[in-house]
Amino acid sequence: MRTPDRATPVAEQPAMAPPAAPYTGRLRRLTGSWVPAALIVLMLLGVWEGYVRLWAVPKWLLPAPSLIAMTLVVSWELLLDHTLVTLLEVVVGFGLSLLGGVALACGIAASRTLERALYPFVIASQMVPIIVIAPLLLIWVGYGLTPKVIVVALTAFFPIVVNMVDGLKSVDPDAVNLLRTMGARRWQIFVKVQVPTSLPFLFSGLRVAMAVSVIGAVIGEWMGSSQGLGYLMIRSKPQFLTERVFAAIVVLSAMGVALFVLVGVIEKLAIPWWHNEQRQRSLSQEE
Amino acid sequence: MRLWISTENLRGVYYYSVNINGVRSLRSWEKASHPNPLSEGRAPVKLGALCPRSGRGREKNGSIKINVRSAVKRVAADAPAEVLEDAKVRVAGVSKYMLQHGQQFAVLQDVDLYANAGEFVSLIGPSGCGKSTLLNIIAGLDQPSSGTLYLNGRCAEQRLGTVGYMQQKDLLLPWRSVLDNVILGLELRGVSRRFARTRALALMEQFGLKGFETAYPYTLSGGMRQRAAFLRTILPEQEVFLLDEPFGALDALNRAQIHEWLLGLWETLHKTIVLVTHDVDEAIFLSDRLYVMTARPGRVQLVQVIDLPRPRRLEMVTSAHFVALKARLLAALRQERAADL
Repeated sequence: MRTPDRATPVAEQPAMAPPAAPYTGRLRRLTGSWVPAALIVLMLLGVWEGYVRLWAVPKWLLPAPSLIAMTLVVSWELLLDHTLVTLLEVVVGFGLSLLGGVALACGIAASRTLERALYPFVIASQMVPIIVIAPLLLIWVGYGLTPKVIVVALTAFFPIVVNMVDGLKSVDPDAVNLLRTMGARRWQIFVKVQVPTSLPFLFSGLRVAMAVSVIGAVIGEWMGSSQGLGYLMIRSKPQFLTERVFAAIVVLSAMGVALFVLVGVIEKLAIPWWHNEQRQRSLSQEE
Repeated sequence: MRLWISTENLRGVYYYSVNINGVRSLRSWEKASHPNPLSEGRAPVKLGALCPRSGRGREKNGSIKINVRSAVKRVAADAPAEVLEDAKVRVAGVSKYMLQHGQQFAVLQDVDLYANAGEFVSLIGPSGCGKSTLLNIIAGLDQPSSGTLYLNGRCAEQRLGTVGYMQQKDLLLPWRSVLDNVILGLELRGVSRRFARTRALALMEQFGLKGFETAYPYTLSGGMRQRAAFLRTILPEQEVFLLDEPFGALDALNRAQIHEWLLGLWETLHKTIVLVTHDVDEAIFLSDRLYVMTARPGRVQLVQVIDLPRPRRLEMVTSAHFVALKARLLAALRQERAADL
């Protein structure tokens, strides 16, 4: 800011507005980005660190953020091994529920009979707590990868099916009529209108599914396992290695966020028209 | 297929109209809405002729059993009488009833109209006169409650895909580029995408879409979207196009331009166009003939031949003849509104 400006009386303030505009624009862009979230995280971490140090909280009760960071660095190899196991469970389980969920949703949307026959079971599958099913799975299919993959698939397929079915049904009846007047067959209408209409719905389902499938993997590991981040947490707790529990939580959250973002990136690549159209709409609303 | 049947008893001759599509034997019938099927140029079939074995239909409790196969044969034998050579589209005595709050009401009542090859025909009328319903019936999205539809002189029960239909909304699919939207009709008919694209690309310039082939629809202006929808409609090269208020969303200036452009295009295409609009000026400017319809139930109130010379020019809108035609049509529309009140 130039000195003469500061000396001018308040009444002439509007004259300053034009040079100030780019500054507020930049500020808005900054506040609109990840900066506020990062500030809040830093603040919370600072309070946490200060509280632990000032009151000398024992590390098995609540480790300081600095100690957790140290653990991350020191035992990165251990963490990486277990992370890869959990990641594998999540990816395989998620992939299975994606395939199964999409197939099921197509069947439900295409046939009223299938909808009546299958939809109650889809809903009922979510009414039974996964905590109850997981130990049974251990009895049936043993330790190893399989029971965790099944738990992940069971938790993830529900949002996929429900969203995809909604998407397939939210098709514009006028667009369907348009294709009918062009002599389209039923499967052509399904492939060329219903499926593309459902994709944005499918992707919001996938994002929810991705978030819950990480939880599913941990639950599966808690029920009985010898590998994975969930196992690491459960083993470290009785050893009073609380900082390692926290380190595992940090890695787990990072993995969840990364997978979530990955789904978002794939979505943007797969259905670019949807995002551009949304942006266009929000822009015209601002005007 | 609709069949006329006549029966005789002591009181006189009765005609019945029966839909025999996909039926093996008839158990019920409805009394014909038309008193005389001969007005349609079709000879009714004597009931006895349908049941060759017994010589007459077995009538019981108001229902009747006939031999449908022989009935179809009879109709096929009468077929030459059905063919109306010149008309591309003929709507014969079409009525449409719908249910609302459990009550039946007529949307269309005994509508008769036709459009010849290469003719530009418009339907105008107040909102709620069933114009869109009529187009839906012609396109095959809907079936009439009674009456018959002829396309190319033939009775057309299954006609989806035989006429091009452009609805009020442009209905461009947001996930397809302009080019891929435009070739949709060809693609559905099994034409290879590559061939369809080549065909469409050749027409892009004429439709003012050059340079926007790979753009998504949301980037287009209203007029461009409309032209893209129109290109999509005509690309499969059907004989007949139905246009349902295609210019409703455009402002006056764009409209005048697109009218001239459309006429220029229509003259090169030699196709039949049936246009639905509520704009009298538009209807007069574009059409060879126009039908004025009444509201609730929709009926044809007036048929007006527009004998303005072609090619039409924008200046004609202010000519004495144009104004006289407009006055006449507006009077008809006003009279209808007064009767409604």
